[in-house]
Amino acid sequence: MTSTASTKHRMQRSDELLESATVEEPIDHDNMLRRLKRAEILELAPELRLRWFYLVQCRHQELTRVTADLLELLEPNNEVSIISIIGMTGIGKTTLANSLKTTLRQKFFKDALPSEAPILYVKAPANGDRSLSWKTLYRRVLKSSNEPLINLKRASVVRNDHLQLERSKDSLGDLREAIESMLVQRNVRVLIIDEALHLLRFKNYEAVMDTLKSLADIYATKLLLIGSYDISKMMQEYGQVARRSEIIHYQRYERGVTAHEAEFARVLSVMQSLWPCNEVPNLLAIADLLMQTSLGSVGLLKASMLKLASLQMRNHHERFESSMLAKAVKSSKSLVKIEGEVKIGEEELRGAAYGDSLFASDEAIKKVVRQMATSPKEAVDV
Amino acid sequence: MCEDYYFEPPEPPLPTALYGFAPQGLGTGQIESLQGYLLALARAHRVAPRQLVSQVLYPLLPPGISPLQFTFSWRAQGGQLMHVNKLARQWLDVLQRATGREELAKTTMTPLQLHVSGEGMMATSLRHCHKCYSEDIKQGRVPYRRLLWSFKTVTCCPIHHVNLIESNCGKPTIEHLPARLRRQMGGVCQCCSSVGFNCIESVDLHSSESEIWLSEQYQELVARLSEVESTSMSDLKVALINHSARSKGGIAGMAARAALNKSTLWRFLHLPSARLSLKGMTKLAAGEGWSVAGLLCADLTSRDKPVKPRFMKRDRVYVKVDRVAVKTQLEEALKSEAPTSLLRLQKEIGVTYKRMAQIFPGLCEQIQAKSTATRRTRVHEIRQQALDQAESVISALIRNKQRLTLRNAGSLDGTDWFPRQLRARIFLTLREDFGTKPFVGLCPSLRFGSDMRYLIEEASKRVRAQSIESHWR
Repeated sequence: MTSTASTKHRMQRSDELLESATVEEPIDHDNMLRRLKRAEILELAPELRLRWFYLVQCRHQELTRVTADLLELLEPNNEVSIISIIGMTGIGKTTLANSLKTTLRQKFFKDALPSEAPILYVKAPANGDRSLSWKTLYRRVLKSSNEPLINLKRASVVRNDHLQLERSKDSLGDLREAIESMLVQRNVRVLIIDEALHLLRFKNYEAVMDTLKSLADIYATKLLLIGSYDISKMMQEYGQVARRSEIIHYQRYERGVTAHEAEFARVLSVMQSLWPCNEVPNLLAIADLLMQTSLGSVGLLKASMLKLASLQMRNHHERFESSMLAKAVKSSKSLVKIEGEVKIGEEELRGAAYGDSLFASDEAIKKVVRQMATSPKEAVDV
Repeated sequence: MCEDYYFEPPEPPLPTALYGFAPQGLGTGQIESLQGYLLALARAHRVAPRQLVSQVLYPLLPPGISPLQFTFSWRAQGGQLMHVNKLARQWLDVLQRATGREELAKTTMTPLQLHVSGEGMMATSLRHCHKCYSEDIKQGRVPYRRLLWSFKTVTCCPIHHVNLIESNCGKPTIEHLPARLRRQMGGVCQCCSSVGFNCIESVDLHSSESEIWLSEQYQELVARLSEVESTSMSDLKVALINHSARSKGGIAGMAARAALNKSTLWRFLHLPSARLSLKGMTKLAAGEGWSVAGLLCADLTSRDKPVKPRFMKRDRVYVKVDRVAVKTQLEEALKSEAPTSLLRLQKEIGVTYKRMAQIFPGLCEQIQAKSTATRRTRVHEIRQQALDQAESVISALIRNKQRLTLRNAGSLDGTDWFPRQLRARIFLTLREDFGTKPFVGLCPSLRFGSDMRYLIEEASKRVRAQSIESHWR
């Protein structure tokens, strides 16, 4: 084989390897892989090593902050019913939501019965129609709760002391009633809707938000919408929702901010220490460049590292070559486009996210502390 | 796990296939039956019960069990779900796995599987208390089927003291819903969808003392099922044997008071695997003044006076017979034209018919012959009347050139014609002669005696002649 052909062949095999490692559905050996340390997985086949590396998630400050904010807002006894996590593409919102299912269950719903589903996760459908397909969304919600016989639901009403079956089958009304009944019976407390842009991209987003709000009202179920900056404007402008909703801004690490650069470098060093090949590239030396090519997003960094690892695994004797970096990171033009959208989105969200209130700045806090200390406490007659 | 990294956690387990709400009345004697719970599950999931069973529960059956074993008529055999047999245990197991609810065992009698045999335990038809349904509706609950109503020997409601009524629609057939609009739900009439069976005219038939006692006993038993389940049969038998040693008459005395055979009771007490039926245990409890639940929990403290439920055999009472008075009454009964029988005379006079036959054999034979003749005359009149009705209706239908169906017959004379009625059977037999429709099943004419068949043949000739005449007219 010529060198071009062999490179092309390597690329193809690398893509296949990456695709098999990053499937969203769990693979049988995932549980086994979670128990292994790096020294143990180095003896395994490349597919399994890459899968192990895919399952590894690095902890970092922004993730910890967002998780803590989410857990505060998801406390059962507060007025917040619609929460949205907004961040740039590929930052790790979906990964966060997936790990949240287990965390929430352990924290709030330890005593859930086997028939209960306190947390449901669905992806909003994007089927190319001019308006949102509510039927598809409702079916997905029912399916995620393991609801049987979705296509055979039939509403019944009591009129004049007689039970009457409605004629239509599989109508929107039937599905909606089934959802309402399911939310109550399964004790659903949190409904996570990913790719929320597909819900809100159409002109009549007020009607969509009204319907979502009514879903949240049924059983005090909290809605958690996950999406990119495209939905932030709509979440802010819809007043009815704004009153009972909060936005959590999942931010990236900025270049030029020392603390952010240090944290990013720490994450990179963790990834390097968990490298799934014997030959470990010195990634810390190019931390600044990697921060530039991932726009400060840990999610994009992880995606790049996965690609890099798969390329290295497909190389002869799994040798690392610096030229692999060219294919591992995103193209320059796409980075420019993404960065442009991110900057606009970040500007829109300034002052609108959870915690961006009057008391957000250090000066404001100092003022409050000073005032509380100096003013005498007035006795309250009980 | 390291503080710097963690692994993406596995997906949490999916919830069970069906909702896991608690059965109504849990922990009380008014608990919902498993059949009612299954119907409530179907209602909550907004699907028909048969769809739920065939598409959700059948796949959960253990391997080696064919779904065909689980097809049955809801009305006639729905009681099988609450029984103590293997079929009921399999249903219970499947539903427990599908809902994740372990307490479902309390909606059946399976906790008693080691304590009693299932003989004659469950009723074969659906019954309900209309007052219980009305109360459910007043309190905003959906009316639900109680486990207590599934017992064969329970004939009244322990709360309202009224008789249970058959859950058959009270409206005429013509007002029933078409099959596609019917939905099987607990507390709802399947034929006309009346919630709480308001289609049946509620008549408060007050129950006797023994019926109320029985229903209260079974209500207590249902409430204490978990306690009974934890009681060992061997301990119970030992306690009973000890009791028999102290009681009057020993095992024979206990058997006599309980109206059981001595050999049956002895076998039950001494053989480890022997079991009595629930009816037998009830008789035993009644005879000794225990409660049924207390007996099954080995709590042998007498609470009440022994009670004689109506199903127990009567004691033999020996009274001196006033022969003159009895003879006079028998002669009067023979002379009078009113229909009479030896059993009726037994009730009136207060002497058993066997005793009367011993003392006055001739008179009793005459009375018996007279009552037989009266009965035969009456039967003949009924049959003749049915034959006349069937013949007149079929003639009218032929004249009107209408199809010879039971529905048309009903609409002609404004009454309901059901295949089991005598006049309907004669109608179908007469119709069969014309080959209008093949008669599926056993030919009704074979069930008649020879004299009846002769009458029907004569009627058939007349009707055939009329049809030929109307054809040529």
